[in-house]
Amino acid sequence: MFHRPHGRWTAAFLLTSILALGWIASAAFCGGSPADPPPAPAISSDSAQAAPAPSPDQSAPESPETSRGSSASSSDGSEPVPAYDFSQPAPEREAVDNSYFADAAFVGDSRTDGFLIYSGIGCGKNLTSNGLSIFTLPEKKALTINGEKYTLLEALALEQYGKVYLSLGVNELGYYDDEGFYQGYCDAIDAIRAVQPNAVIYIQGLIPLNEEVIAQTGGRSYLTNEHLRVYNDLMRKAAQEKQAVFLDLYSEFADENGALPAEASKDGVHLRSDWCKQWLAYLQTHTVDYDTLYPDGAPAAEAPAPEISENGSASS
Amino acid sequence: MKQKLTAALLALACLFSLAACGKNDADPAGYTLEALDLMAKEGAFSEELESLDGDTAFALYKLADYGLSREDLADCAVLRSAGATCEEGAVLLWQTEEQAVQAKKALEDYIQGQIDANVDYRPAEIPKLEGARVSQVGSTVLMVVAGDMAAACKAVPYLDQAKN
Repeated sequence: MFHRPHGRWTAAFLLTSILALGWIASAAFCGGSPADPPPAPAISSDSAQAAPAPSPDQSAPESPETSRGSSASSSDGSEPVPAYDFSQPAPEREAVDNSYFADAAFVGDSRTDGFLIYSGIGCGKNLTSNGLSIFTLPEKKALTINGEKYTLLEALALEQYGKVYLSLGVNELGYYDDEGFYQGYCDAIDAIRAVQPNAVIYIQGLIPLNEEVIAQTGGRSYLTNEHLRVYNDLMRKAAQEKQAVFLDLYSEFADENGALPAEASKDGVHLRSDWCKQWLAYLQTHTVDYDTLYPDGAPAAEAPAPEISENGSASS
Repeated sequence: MKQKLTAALLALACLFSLAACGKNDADPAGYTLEALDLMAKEGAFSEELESLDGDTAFALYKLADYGLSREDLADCAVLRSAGATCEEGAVLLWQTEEQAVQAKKALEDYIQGQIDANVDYRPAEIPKLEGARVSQVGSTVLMVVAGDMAAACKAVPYLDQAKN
């Protein structure tokens, strides 16, 4: 039996403890902090062991604001709008039509190039280069515009976009530099935000491969879904760290074995027309409004924008 | 009698000449949309190619940069690899011969762009791109990047004689 004053203190202590435990459990459930090692792939990876993921001291410590944007109060004073959860892939919502992509830029490799050609999207800026990787994105002069060569990020800076879709990672599978891959993605998001502060940045998770088809067609042996899953985890973590939207395309395309269906691709990597249309349908149903992401304004860009010369060309 | 014999010989010569034209398959009206299917059936492509519509083809080949408008493109057939190879074929039918001449330039530049884009990425495909044919006849243009160009030319014999 408790005395009344003592009982109130105990109840308050218990309530505080329960709330604290709940907060910790919630944080763990949302995917852990960027300071944690990346989640283990579905199948243990030799490459992941050989090239460890970012260690705790290389990533910013998580705060509630890191994984969740600040909540916004509605203008009429009613219930605040729940903040966007950057630790989770974009949720499905009502499909937009292709006009949504009219002010979108697509930065990527040959897979994205194929998507723009075969999906029927009919719009969107094609900023792609065959064989491009997150490692070569900053310096590879991949595009020629009016006789002048640009990196894709320099070309991106020439116009303002409402959305930027980034998809790189397959060509990197042979590098076995997971830490560099993660850091490269963080740097790329910063660089994109520096030149496109008003754009929603979508990080497109890697679509799986079909390793049997790759082997049958003489493709590279390092192209494995095992390593691709490690990269997807790192991309998702980078998106959370940098408050960009992650799109879980892997789950959209993976069959029961975690692979791209054989009929989806002639070489196990590049998607055939019908699957590019499926990719487009996914993008149409997984969009997020800028104001939902950043109700208090754009996050600060952490990379300097490329200098733009007087004739409009950019230089890094 | 001598004049009648000369006339008969001339008529015979004309007939032989016409027959020879037919044998060369040199259709003065230009290429037809069926040419790509004929090539595919003949085994010119090493894989099943994807079909593209006119709007996508117009953008892909950057035809607007050559002074052409979408309305100028009367019809087209385009087959293209989804990425496994660089194999591709296009038949573009234009309103005028002048437009076809411009389109031929666009396709030649497109092929060069494909070579530049793939020289490090798909080096094994470069010989196909270097052996590509771009031909214009009248208001039509045909481009083909084939796995087996001999098969392509067998399907469309005039292509073998057409100047690039």
